[in-house]
Amino acid sequence: MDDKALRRMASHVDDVHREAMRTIEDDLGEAHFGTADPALVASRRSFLRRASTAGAVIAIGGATIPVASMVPAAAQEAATAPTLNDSDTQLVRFAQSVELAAVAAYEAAVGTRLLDSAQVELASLFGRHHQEHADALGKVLPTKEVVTAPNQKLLDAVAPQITAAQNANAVLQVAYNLEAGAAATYQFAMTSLINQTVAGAAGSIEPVEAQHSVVLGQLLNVNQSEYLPPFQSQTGAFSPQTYALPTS
Amino acid sequence: MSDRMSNDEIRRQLREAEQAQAEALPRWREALRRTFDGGADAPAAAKAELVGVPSRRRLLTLGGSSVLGAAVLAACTKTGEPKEQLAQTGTTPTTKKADETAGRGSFTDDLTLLRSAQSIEVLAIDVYQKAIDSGLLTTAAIADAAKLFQSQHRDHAGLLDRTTRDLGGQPYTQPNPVLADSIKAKVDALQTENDVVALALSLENVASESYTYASGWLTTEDLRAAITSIGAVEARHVTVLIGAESPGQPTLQVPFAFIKTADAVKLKGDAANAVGSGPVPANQPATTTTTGKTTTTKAGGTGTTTAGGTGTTTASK
Repeated sequence: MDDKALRRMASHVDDVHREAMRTIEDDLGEAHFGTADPALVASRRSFLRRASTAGAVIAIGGATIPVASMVPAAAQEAATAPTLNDSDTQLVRFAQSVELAAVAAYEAAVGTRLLDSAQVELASLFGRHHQEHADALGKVLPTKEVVTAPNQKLLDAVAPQITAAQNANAVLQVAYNLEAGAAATYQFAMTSLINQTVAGAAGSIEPVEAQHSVVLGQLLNVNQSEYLPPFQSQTGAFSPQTYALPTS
Repeated sequence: MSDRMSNDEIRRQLREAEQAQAEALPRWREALRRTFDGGADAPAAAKAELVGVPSRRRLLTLGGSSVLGAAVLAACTKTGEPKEQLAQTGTTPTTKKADETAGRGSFTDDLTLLRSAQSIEVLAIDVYQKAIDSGLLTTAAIADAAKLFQSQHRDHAGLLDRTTRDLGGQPYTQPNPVLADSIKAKVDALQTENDVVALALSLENVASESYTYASGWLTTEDLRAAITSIGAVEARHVTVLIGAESPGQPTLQVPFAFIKTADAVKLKGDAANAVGSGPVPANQPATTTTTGKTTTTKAGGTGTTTAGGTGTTTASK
């Protein structure tokens, strides 16, 4: 056996080990948060592998804790669930209802059968993200305050647009508007949320809504200045007054 | 090679090692699942050790790296308090518990976070300039994106600069020295457009995560709104750059349902320590919280940072 062959075999063993270690993190994440959805996991793993392959991850301070990279901020915050005042409670409830409306909207979008398979996959992924957001927000609310139904007024505004859509782009345009509005809504909420834990959770969700809007904006060839603004604006936020929840 | 071991023996041992690894990993995964499952009785320390998390306190100070495991470990650990078993694997504590994190952060922390954020923005401006000057950006769309992102980082640095001044602090106008050191080798070794995109992606990711981290620490709503109005834009940059790396695969462009903070610049971490709070004004703003709104008041009037839209700061005079 020559040195090359030995090195190759050793390298292979090492690769297997490293790859396994990387997915262990994912497995831990799944174990903690139940996010065993294959598409979600595939997306995360792909990101981690790519970052690793490119050597792109910046190590700060030389210390890294692998499992931490798999932990969504909002979910970890839920570990120390806060006591909210009325104002924060209503804002979180509203945000949760918007998330559930987004879930329903994506389901409706898929149901139109106007989307191709790649678009269906994307819509399903984003819908699942919104469900995760709704779940995380529910964890910071007292049980009796948890919202279990989509925001009906928002759905009433969005559903007819989806139903009336004649092609895939029209469907995706509704989703784009919804995502842009959701990001703006969180930005609006950040000006009022008092509890830092909840603000931190919202701060981990808002950018994801913004990312959704970028992907959809690119697919729709929307003017770049729309989906790449210099600052996240509140313009277009869903108003808790306009889309008020029914009084409990 | 060793005189005492034949090549066949080495090959056999390597194969055995590989096989053992392949067999052990599924069992280890299962053991981890059992350990972290809500019903498991493993003590927190054991769980922490298992995943390499030293201790809660140390987690909060480990470089600028993440620290998120602690809260999760706490959630998975029996503390004598009633817990709610969720449908998914794992346990979370009751949601009726008092807010353990209420009131965290301080005026000095605010200054540190603002200055750290500005130091990241300045670094990003510099890195994009190097990329633009390198001549490596041959794809027009990527070159345009680099210029746009750089200009937006300049806007962000400007807002952070003004906000810091409004609080009576001293803006940090240099690139973050710790981050700059950590990427120096990669900057120096840039050879292709893909290298530039990968570097930009990692830097934007750190920026995005740092803003998310800060959104849970800053002490006023106005500051938190200002910081998230920037953080959401950094996340947009991340998504565009992933798209540039993996064209035609939109599902990869939003890899997580939540922005993590594993690679964020954190208080007490090396990158934040290197920047610090700067001189803290003797006449610190007094924070008064009213219903749904916090106003920072200092001698001479009130200051309100306006986030979003124009990204301007209305300074008190």
